[in-house]
Amino acid sequence: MDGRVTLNQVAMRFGDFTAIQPTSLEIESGEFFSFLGPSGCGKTTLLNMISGFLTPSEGSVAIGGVDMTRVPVNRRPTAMIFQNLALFPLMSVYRNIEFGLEVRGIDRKQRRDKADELLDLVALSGSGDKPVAELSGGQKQRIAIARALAVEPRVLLLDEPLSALDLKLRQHMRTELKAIQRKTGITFIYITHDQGEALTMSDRVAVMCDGRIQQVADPMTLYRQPRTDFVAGFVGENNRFPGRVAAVDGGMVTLDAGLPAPLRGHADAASPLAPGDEATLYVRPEQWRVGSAGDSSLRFGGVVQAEHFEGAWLTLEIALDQGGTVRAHVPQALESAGIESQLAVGSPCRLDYSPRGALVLPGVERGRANEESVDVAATA
Amino acid sequence: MSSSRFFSWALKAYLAVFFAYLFLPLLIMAAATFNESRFPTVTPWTGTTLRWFSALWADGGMWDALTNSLLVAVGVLCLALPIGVASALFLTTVDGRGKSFIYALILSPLLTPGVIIGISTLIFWRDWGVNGGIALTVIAQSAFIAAYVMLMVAARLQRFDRTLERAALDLGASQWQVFRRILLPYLRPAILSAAVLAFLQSLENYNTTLFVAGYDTTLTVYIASKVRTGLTPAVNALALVMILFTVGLAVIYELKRRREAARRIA
Repeated sequence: MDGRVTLNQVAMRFGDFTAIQPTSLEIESGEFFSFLGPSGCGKTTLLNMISGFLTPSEGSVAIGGVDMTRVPVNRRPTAMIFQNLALFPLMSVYRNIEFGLEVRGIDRKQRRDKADELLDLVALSGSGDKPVAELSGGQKQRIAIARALAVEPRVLLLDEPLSALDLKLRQHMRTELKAIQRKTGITFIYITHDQGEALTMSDRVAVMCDGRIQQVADPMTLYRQPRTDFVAGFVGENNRFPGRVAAVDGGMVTLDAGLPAPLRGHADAASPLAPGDEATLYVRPEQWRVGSAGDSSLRFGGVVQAEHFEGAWLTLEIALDQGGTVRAHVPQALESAGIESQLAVGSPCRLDYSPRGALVLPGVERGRANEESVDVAATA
Repeated sequence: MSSSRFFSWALKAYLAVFFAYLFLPLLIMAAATFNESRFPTVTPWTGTTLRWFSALWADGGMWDALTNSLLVAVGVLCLALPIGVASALFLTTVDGRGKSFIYALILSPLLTPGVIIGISTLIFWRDWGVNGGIALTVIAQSAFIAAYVMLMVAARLQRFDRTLERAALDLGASQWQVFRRILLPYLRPAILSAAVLAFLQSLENYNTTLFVAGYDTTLTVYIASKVRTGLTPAVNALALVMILFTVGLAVIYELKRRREAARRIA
């Protein structure tokens, strides 16, 4: 069963508005693939083009190497899990799961066997005769998955199906979805704006913004080696230091960002830099070491402006002496070592980072609307 | 304390007057059925009798009229239900100015006096060689009854979750299967109530029917003509039979509903 999905220069325009810029992408058979991006980035439009609800304005969509561009939605080897699940409210669990088989004219006995098998897979054996209205949120979720799997799709499309669940259940369903995907070997294409979901479940993630794929990579690469300013800011948090390249030394770049000490970080191998280029250095909050005001081994000075206790760590907002604010995580293990009393709001502190934990990307993007990252120079 | 007792008393009194206003005429009408008097009245009471029931039974014209009325009502169901449901479905697929125009067009017979619908239907179809009769009555009544059906079905349709259609399509259903298995079951309660309403509207219609019924007199037209030739309590007997029939149906429905509700709880 070949569940490869090939997008070849697909684009979607609604009048003057371009929802999807020409995009090419190959999703492997049996892969758990996510599209991650803020609302309005075009990820749902892409999903609808794969499922057949939308016909692309340009380009082609192929599944298992067969062109599907003009194949209507009810003839495609895909099945969708809708955001609101869209279970048929007037039908029992059995009739929901069997719907796709019934409309294909498969006889009663076979339908029921398949439904029982799927109920078993989603750990809901014996609830086939219940009306769907009597199910809990998590159970509805599983029935929606069983209903979609019943038609034996090559590709399962999931449109933010977990967004309506509470946090605990959501985390549980992540594990469950991943397990079902492994067991069935079906290609899963998952749409979400929640990076936690995308990073924990996916083999690969495509980060989207403004109808364009910014980067396709496995979750770890995405986090450690973002390719664009958007990805650096959207996936995880980042502190931005825009400046000019002072020196390039092997893989390391020295950046002049108007701070007392030059900033060093490693460059992205795919985007080489030369002295004099505009570039931005990114330091993640967990890369900072924060110490007391007297710790002269730390190169930068600042004042704690706010602190947010987040359980495993403490997030500090620190105003640098030269201007600008950075966000730094102080892990609880350090906290208990007795530094917390010196990091109260309003007290001075020192901080530094290791160049190996910082990344330099070419270009300076000022004023990007992105609350997840802090643009140090812009706030200066 | 005393003021709340006053209000409670006033509420009871109001309810008593209200129900008396509703049901007293019906009671008097029913009582008149059993009066000997040749006119439908309770005063003077000239003697108790059941002979108006046998008079009703023997009134061939009345039976013909009732048959015609039922035929017309069934015809209206066959014509107005599909038209009403189809226009409700159609209205959900169009947008903008076209929508309000079509909406107004379908509703306009509701705002048109029934007499005018009757006369214009007669004139229009006469030019095509169709004269007054059962068929024309069905057509004329359906003109406005379809609008009622459309309103009731559209109200339910508005609350329909369109992603259910998308889900069904996605699972491989054809457009017809989506309609047959998803949309129609959802609309069923609205269509059933619309059918009951359409049936009753058709049975009781007089002013439109009068012009298009031709020689196929319906019950309402027949009774009205009797007013001129002399009304007897046989008409009261008919009314009583119809009321008992309706109330009987309502009671059976309610009992069945309660039994089902009890079973669901158990």
